[in-house]
Amino acid sequence: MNRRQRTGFYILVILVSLVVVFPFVIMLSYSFRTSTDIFSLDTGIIPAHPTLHAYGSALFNYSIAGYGVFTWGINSIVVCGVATIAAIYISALAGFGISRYRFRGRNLLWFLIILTQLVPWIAVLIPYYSLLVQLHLLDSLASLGFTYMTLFTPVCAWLFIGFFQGMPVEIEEAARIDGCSQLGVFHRIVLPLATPGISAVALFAFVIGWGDFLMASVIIRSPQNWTLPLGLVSFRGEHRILWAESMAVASLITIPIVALFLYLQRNLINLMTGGVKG
Amino acid sequence: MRKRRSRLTLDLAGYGFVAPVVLVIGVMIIYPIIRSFIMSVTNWNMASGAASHAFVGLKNFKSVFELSEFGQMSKVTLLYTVIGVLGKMYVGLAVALLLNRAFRGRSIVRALVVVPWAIPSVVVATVFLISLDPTFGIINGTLVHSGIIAKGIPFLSVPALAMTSIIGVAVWRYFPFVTLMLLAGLQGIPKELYEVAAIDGANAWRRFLHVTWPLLKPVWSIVLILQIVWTIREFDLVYLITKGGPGSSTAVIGVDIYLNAFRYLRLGTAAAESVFLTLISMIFALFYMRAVRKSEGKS
Repeated sequence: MNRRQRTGFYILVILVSLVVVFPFVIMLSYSFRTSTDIFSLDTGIIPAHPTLHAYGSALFNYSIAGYGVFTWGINSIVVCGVATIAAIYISALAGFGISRYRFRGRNLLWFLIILTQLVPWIAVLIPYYSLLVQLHLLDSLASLGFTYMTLFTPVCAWLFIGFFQGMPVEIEEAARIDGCSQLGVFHRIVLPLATPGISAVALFAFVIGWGDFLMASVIIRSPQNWTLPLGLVSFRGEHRILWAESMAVASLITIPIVALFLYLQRNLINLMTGGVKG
Repeated sequence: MRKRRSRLTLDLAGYGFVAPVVLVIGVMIIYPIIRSFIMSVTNWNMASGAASHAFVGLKNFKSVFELSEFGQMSKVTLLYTVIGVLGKMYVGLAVALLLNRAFRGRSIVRALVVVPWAIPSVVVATVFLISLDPTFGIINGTLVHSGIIAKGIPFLSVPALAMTSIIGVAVWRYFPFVTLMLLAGLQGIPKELYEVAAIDGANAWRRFLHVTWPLLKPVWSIVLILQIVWTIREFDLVYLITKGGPGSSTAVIGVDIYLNAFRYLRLGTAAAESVFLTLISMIFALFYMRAVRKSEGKS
């Protein structure tokens, strides 16, 4: 590359970087204002009067029927956390089974797992919802957690199959020769060795639930059972929109996830490229 | 004899390992799909709560196809999917090619590219909804402030602009996945091939056409199919930004199903649309399997 080409190249790179982080920056930027600032057309990227007011009022003053961001945050963490742990265990078993054993129906199962990634949630939602109605299981965090668990499991299994296929089998075989049971090999050898994969798969699963609006909006009714996405959307009411506050909550939802993504980036990418390509 | 026996126990152990996931897939995928087929041929109404529902044959499908909205919905879905997928794929490819070069700060830029993908859709929708506001939004604010335009652009209240806006947001949100996948593919291409091509006097475009593209194609097809399926079923982003409006100008099939089911309580119609969407997705699932098998055969 000559000098001019190199300058052009760096301009492109900088442009891409800016476009990629732009909405994230806007979100942070709005969260450090008051709604009055926003309505008085303070539209610069850097707020004219930076303040933490929106965070305070979103966390402590905003509530619907007595429940606020803390309740919804705890609901989100517990529901997504429990669902993730359960899904990880079930899907690691399946990923291990499919990548290590040859049995009849293995390919069919693999196809079904991939199919679950391609069949839209919205399409299974209506029948699933009508089932929950019949069983009187609506508006409960347990139902939502169970739903998330079943939704996370196939994605995780898909990723785990690729991950386990890339893992050497020699140690497992050695353990087996030493008299370790099938399940023992899985628990004592495979799971500990798979920690980097597990953390990335867990993050994958967790964020699906953490950001989910569709399932939560259909299953959950009362504000005491809301999760963070439902809470966030409520800031945009029919009559008033609490923009600064909603951006403060959006930032609180997003920052930990973005930080984790950046931290686990390499694991995530390896996992994804391994999984998607079968 | 002994060996055979241990093979057999190994196989049975395989069933044990996958049993829980089979249960989960049954509950979440197989059962609902069967049920939606059944619902789509009955006059199912959520409000009635009746245990049995009269069989109406293909009436729901007929009424779906006859609805004037069906034409509109398919047009919107097709437009959103075709332009959205092309946008995601080509922006993704361009950025992947850009980041495939060695330069100072590459790892930082590559890390940043993950950001749109990490932000939950519900947050993305909220941020863009605010940013695109004609009066108070940061985009219009900046444009008006700097004198480029006199009055804010009503991004979300004019049908064509609303469509453009949500496609733009979707491209921004989903191109990183394409970039990361293609980048992994690009890095698997041996450097020697480029050197040979350069010695033969091939320019950058020819090198791309004759070296990069043929080797990238298997990954490209897989990612393309995934993007088609994932774009056709879009719900969150569109619903949370436009709710399908103005009018029904951005009501893609996912949003339409949701509105039919939970706002207008036309469960049969929604189920018929769901079956329709499921069938389309299944066709693409077969394409996906074929593409995966083909790429495995090559590598």
